[in-house]
Amino acid sequence: MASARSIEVKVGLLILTAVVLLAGFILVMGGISFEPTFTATVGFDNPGGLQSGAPVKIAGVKVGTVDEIRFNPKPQRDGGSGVQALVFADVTIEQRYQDAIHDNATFYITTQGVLGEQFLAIDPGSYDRPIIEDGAVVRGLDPPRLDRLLAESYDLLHTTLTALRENKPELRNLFVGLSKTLQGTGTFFERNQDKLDRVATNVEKISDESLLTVQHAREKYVDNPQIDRIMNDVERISDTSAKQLPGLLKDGRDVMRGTDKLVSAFGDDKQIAKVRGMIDDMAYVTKQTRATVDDARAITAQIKRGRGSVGALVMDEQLFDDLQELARDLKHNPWKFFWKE
Amino acid sequence: MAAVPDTLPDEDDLEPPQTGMLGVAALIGDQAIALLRTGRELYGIFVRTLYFCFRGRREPGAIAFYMHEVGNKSVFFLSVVMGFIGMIMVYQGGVQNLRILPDLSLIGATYLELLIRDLAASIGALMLATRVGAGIAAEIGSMVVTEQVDALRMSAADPVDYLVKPRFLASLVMTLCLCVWGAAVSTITGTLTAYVYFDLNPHTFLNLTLVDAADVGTGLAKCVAYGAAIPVVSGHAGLATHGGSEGVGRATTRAVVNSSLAVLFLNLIISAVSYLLFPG
Repeated sequence: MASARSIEVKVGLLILTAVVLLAGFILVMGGISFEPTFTATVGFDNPGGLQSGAPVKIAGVKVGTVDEIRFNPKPQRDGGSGVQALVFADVTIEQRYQDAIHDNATFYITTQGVLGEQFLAIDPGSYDRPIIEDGAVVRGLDPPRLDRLLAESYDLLHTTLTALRENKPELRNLFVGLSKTLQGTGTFFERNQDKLDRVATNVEKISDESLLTVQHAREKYVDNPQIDRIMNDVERISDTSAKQLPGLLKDGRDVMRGTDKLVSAFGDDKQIAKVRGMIDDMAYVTKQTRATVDDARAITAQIKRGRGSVGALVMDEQLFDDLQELARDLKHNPWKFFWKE
Repeated sequence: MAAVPDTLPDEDDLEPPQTGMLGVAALIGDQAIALLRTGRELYGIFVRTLYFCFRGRREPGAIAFYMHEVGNKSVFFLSVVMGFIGMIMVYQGGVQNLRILPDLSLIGATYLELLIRDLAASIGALMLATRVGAGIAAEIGSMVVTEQVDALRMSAADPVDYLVKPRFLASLVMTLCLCVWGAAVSTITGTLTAYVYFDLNPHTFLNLTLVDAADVGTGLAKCVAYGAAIPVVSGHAGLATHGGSEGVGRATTRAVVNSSLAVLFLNLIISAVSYLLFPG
């Protein structure tokens, strides 16, 4: 028989084991947290099956719990927060997750798994928005109303069935008509099979040709290297223009400045009158010069035609030859200047 | 006090047994009166046990001995039972679930909620009722039929103080410990079963999102209530033993049956109160 001491040790070990298991279960697995928390209130029109004590999760990670669900008999505004809802859920969230929740965060109710318990999920919102404040009152997204969907589906189904039941003759006629139409269509296709085949062949050819046309157009206008070159040239021109434009603009500005100075120099009325007189004189001189040029042109034309002495001298070859002969003769026989044979 | 007749009445003097509807009514009435009497006696033993817990003799050695008897010697038995219960529950639950939905992600969460709220305490206590309750009733019943209890009374010692109170205290603590141990064993076997049969990740299975403080509180309250009920009911069955060794057998049977019924009855009451207090 075991001694009293060993019995006490065994009993103590069993009790300790149970206490450790219970404490471990409650502390580690039970999710009891000693983290500091902050509160927020979420308004819903219908929170579905959300219950007090339900978890609050961000991206599947539990960050808090739903403390209380309060019903507003009148959907009045909650303490001037601007949120209007029938039901308000007070939630407690651990402070270490506060930085992740922004003031445009989305609070919505969803379920865990297919038939799981409902919980409050938070979509953290935009990072550039300010962080949610302690005690904030926000509007939540109501969960989908499956009960309403079922009721409306039932109503739709019921209406459809009633309509089918009450319009049996019309439906029969409709189906008979449909059957005849289909039969007629089948006969038509059977009768015109050759024509339809030809039509199909033609359509196929047209589509092939269209394809070829499109391909050619693509080769010519899209894949053509010339287009690339043109584009490159345009790019180069624009590039050069962009580089040269400041200098050109500067030159233009200088020219404009000079013009401005010139204009300002002739700004006096007397000067302008003088300039106008000079221009008139220049116009007269130009007119006279043109007349002189016309005369010279007429004389030249006469000479070219071989008229007159100079024309005969220039244009008559015989006379030219005679003069050449005479010059040669005089050169060899200079005495002929003084003495005639 | 009523005078005890010297001789038993003749059979002719007794009222003839009732037949028909009257007989059924008499049977129901008889059982109801017996039930009420048993309830009153149980209440009396419970109150006296509580009284002696505070005002009775101090005998830590006896309490440690009974803790060892009730607790340590039941660990193996309870581990086997709770282990198999965990395996069977998860296997059957998974198979039935797969007939409806190919999603077992919540089987662990629901199993753990059920286990912590009810099964660990109730099934563990039912097992303890069979083992511990039978032992207590047999021990006390044997002492009754061998007139040791009468000797105690003659020595001005209350049998409840001597026999029931140490077992009561031992059972109170040890039922709690054994139920926690049983819950741990069931959780482990359930997790292994889910992993082996359904390829369910243990992290997915050990999901405590459905377990809240109300579940843990209800489970612990049940453990305490069962731990108190089993020795009281079994002690009452033992103290009410009469008729020699056959009486001891009957007392043992009655202790097991009544302890089991007490566990189920308390389960009903505590669950109802829990659902009223924590409707979520």
